[in-house]
Amino acid sequence: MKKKLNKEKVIWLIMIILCMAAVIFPIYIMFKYSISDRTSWITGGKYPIPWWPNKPTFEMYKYYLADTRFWGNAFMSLQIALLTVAICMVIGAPAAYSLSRFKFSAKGVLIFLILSIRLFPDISSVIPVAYTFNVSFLYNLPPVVKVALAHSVLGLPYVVYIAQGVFETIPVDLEEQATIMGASKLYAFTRIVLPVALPGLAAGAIYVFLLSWNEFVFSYFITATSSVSIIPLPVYLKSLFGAFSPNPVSVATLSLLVSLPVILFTFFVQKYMISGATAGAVK
Amino acid sequence: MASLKLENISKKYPNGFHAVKNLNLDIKDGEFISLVGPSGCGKSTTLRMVAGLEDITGGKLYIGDKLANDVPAKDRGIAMVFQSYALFPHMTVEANIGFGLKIRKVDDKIKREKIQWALKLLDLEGLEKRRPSELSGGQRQRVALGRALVLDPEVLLLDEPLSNLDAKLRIKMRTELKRIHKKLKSTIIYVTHDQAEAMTLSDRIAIMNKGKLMQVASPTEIYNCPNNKFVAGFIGSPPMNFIEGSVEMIGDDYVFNYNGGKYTLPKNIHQVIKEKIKGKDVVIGVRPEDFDISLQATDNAIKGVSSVIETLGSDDYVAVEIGKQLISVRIEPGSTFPLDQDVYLIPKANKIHMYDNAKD
Repeated sequence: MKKKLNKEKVIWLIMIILCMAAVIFPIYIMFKYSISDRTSWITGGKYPIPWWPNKPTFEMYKYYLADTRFWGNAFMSLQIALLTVAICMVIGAPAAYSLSRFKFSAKGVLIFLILSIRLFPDISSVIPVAYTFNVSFLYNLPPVVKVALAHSVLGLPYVVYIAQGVFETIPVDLEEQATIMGASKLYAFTRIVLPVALPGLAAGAIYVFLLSWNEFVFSYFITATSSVSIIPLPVYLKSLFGAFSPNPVSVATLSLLVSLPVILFTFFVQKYMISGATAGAVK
Repeated sequence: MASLKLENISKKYPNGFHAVKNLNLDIKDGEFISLVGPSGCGKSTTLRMVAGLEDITGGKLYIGDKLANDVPAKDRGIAMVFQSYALFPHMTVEANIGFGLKIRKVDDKIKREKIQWALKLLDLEGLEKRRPSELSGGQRQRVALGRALVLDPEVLLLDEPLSNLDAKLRIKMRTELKRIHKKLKSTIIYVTHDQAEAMTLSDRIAIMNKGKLMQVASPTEIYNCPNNKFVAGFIGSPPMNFIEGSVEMIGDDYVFNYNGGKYTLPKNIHQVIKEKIKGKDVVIGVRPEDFDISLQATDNAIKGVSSVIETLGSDDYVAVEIGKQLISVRIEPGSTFPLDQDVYLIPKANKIHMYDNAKD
């Protein structure tokens, strides 16, 4: 059968292409620069910069992947992200559970207050947060913990919000059934509610992980004031912009190296992020 | 197995809603009793109070001869099947059935035997490793039942367990439940809004309305001698016919005036009128099968006009208009009945029920 291309379809198609272009074009530019040789970006204004490098090279990748400083920073970012996830889940999941299960007055206000943390631009809330880290006992904590705590402030509202929705989809019947059969509240929570909620909670965890991995403002203000040489990747990326205009090849390469794990990771877990597990529990 | 005693049980919610009012009920050891009533009548709340999922705000609950008001749910020796089945979706059939045994730290060997016993009893063999999402509605229902039965509960509570099944399966599971009860002789409290289920399954039926107990009796007694209008209208399908009117004494007889007609009531109902009827306005209730219907004018009959015929296969019913009231009368199945004709109805003398119209 011949596909009909009517006007309406063409318009939709153009929208999709525009959307794709907006997403892919920056990545393409980044990739192009990362594999450019010198003659492809220093043209002296005589020639236009080519759309594809004259002699593509992976030299800069080789340089960074062999660089211990890069790996140290990447490892720190990973530690921060995992710790942030742990903190957010341990505090956020029980908080969300109580918000979804127990009745108390001013619940709506409380949920709003938790979410309201996200109403402020990061750049305006970072100053009091960084200040607190500098003048209180928190100053002596290891940088990884400090940044993870700061990221938890950003991640918790999301976890509470997502997890509350997840818990609300789990019928109370399941817990009541477990209670009648002899389970304590804690047993019912850990053996029944948590496993059923896991896919939903995983979505929250993945979200927080990505948030922490990509976060720059808080990481920068908290680590910049300490004298440590190891810094989270986004801060490391910023450090390339020194007094002089940076080498676009190294900036592009590092940018891609920072985003690549995130892109791949998201690609593989996106299905998991939207799946539910309560099918079959309640007809 | 245990008996159960509810003494003046009440449930009042903090918002002031009085869900159950002074409920008194004695349930014998091994008895199958149904709590029936329309939505919101308090039957599920009662069940949840017995289960320990809801606090009892007034009265006393005895399980066996032990006061159980403050005993936590897990120590009451009860098991419950929820309307939703509440199967644990992340566990296999086997794990679902064995969950309670696992918590009670039952020996592994005994646990496996018990699970096998339940699988066999409920015809679930071969499905051990499946998850609830891979089962049909009827299978899920049986898993939920098995999960309750392996715990050897003193009292088994069933909260509308069949209401999520399709009509055919519901009737099959009804028989199945009856068979299981006969075999295990468990004390069962069964909550349903379906009077047919209650009639077929129960040793006794407790009918509730607006938080109050209306009548407790055997299905036959409830059907034949409903002690108020609500019970009379709730049990039976099609329901009992009610004809509104008033009674007056003429000479030695009580005469029922309805929509412009008069009907002299039989002698055997005089006692009922003297004892139960306070005012003048009454309703008489007669089941569809308890009328003699005829086209010939009769001296003492309720007069109406035949309007439509409803066929159910096993029975046919003709709808008769008496003024503005519409009642249903059973006729011989397959017979043709002339419509839009004057008909004369004579209720069977001992099958007439009479209630005050102001009540209920």
